[in-house]
Amino acid sequence: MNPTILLILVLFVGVEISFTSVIWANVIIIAISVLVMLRHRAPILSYVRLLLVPLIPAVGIWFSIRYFSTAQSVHFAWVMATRIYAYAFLGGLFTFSTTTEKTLASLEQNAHIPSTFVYGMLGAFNFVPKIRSEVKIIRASAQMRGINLHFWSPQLLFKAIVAALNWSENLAEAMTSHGFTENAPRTHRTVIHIPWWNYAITAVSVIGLQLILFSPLK
Amino acid sequence: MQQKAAHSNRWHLRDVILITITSIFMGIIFFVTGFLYNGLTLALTPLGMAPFANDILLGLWTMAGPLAAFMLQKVGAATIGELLASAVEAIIGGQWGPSTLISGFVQGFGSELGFTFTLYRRYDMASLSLSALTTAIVTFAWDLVRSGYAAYHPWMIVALFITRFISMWVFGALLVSAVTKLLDRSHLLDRRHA
Repeated sequence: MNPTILLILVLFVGVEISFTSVIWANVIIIAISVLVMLRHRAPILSYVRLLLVPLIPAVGIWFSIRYFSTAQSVHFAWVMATRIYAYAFLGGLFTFSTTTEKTLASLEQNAHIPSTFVYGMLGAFNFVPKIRSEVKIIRASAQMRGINLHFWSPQLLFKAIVAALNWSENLAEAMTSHGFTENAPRTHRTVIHIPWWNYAITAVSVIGLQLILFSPLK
Repeated sequence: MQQKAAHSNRWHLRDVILITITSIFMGIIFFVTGFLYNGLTLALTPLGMAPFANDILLGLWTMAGPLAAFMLQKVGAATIGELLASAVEAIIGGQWGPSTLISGFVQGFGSELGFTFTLYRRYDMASLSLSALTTAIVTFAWDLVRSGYAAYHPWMIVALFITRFISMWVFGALLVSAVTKLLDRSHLLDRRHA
């Protein structure tokens, strides 16, 4: 599916289940997400991760709703626990249906997000390994002077921002000198179209969700 | 070179890259808090107090907004900065997938309001504190619905809100202001704000 359409659909479903309390809707969303992930041959480990990571918050909220909500409703406790899983699996559905590059390219062409943002982000993501090592370097060099920098230390954030300032200037200059012009009209080697069946799937999903949410199902 | 244009409200390539790289930095620095969050939740679960883990640490996740507002001093900087930070989090593999984007927008909008109320003229402790307050109010309203906070006893709702505001103030105002004081003293941002 087209990443922009899928993102809008996933965000819409995420917002709507936040405002409604139907356990079945959450369960069906999780099931559909698993089916989509199976189709995209997601590795087994990713299912394990999606089951384990939300476990602590889900159990946590289940207990606090049971103990401290005015109604102490078992139903609402399950709504909240399954909602957390539904969010996580919607994330899994999206992650395994597309890639970051495809999503950003589609956001530029289909959602008309300014190219400055799209290419700026794409450029910045190349710094991830450098940023990891920079954090280590900053902390190590502080330790050499007998200072331990924690994540709440202003010094650590300050030094990170100084590095970010330098790198962003350099990268922006480099991109400009390679011919990137901010928000100038661009041509694309791969033009991304939205096939008609994308709209059909979106419509069916949205209507299906309304049917579940406003049915006698709880 | 483009000093005049830099102060306008347009986002330039270097602004986007700066905020994205800063967000990645913060994401990697706070990666520990992801685990901190789980440990804290686990410890509070038997007491039924798990939501407090979220509210104690939420200030960390909402720092990108006020920091971006401070560094760029543009209309919309807090919203877009926080949204970029949440996109970074979603892409690098946060726990919540695309729902991070929704929270990111809500948090960014919340901290933006604080600067809007000062008409984007003040960038100091007062506007940061106001921004912490508006972030706490807006995100709390969202969590009343999304995280089911509305179902709790009134005393719990009040306690959660106070916890959240303190967290946002400590990280979003106190820590951000300490960082920006260092930045001011380094004069690195002068050229951008000229």
